[in-house]
Amino acid sequence: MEERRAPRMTIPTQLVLRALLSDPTRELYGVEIGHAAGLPSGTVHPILARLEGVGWLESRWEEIDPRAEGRPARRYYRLTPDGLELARAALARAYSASARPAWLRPLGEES
Amino acid sequence: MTAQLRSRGTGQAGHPTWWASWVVRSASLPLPAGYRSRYRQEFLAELHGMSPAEQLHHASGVLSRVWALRLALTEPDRLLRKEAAMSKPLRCRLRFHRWQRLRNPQGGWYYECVKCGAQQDRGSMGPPNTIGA
Repeated sequence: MEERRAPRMTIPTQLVLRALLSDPTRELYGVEIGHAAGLPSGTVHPILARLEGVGWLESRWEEIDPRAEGRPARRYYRLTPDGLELARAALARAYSASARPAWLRPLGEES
Repeated sequence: MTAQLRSRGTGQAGHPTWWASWVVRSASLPLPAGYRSRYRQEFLAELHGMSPAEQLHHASGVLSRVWALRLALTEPDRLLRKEAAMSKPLRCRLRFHRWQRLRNPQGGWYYECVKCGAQQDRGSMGPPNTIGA
């Protein structure tokens, strides 16, 4: 498999991945992902483009009859099988990197 | 007449207004030619189902981030300075998260910060340190 670089794990990228990982089987379109991630409009598309570029996401046009539905087809995104594993691992790494140092943890809290 | 003005001018919830359509069409112009049509269609489709106020918010958001999208498509490894500077909110860096209690797939409870996504498994214990949550 072609080796691709992982995207930079900025906070918005983590929020988008978390939104997609909440139900990996569900396809979401850009605005839905923005709402689920709590990000403002326009912020998600650059992130989705990067994730799609590295192969973590795949997208497709909704299969509808625009005349019958009264609206154009939306672009739906979901994690690829590889992206699912890589996203989980990347989020785990990001969270562990941001975890409190041991000397700041309250007594009795497990690491 | 009023109905006609509403549908053509200020718009109805569900249908894009002319100005929101114009803004998102314009926003797709700086994108690379190979992606322009796709994103124009994607942005227009997303306007459907929104109220005019939401369309204004969405269209201005798309317009303001179009250069970041262009960069993501042409140089995926590079981030805009603003994006690169995006880090944890200050309060999260100071460990004052805004925790929300969530249930995991195994049925247990855990806490997750709504600002930065940090998680803590606290079991039956109370929320971790919290300010203003």
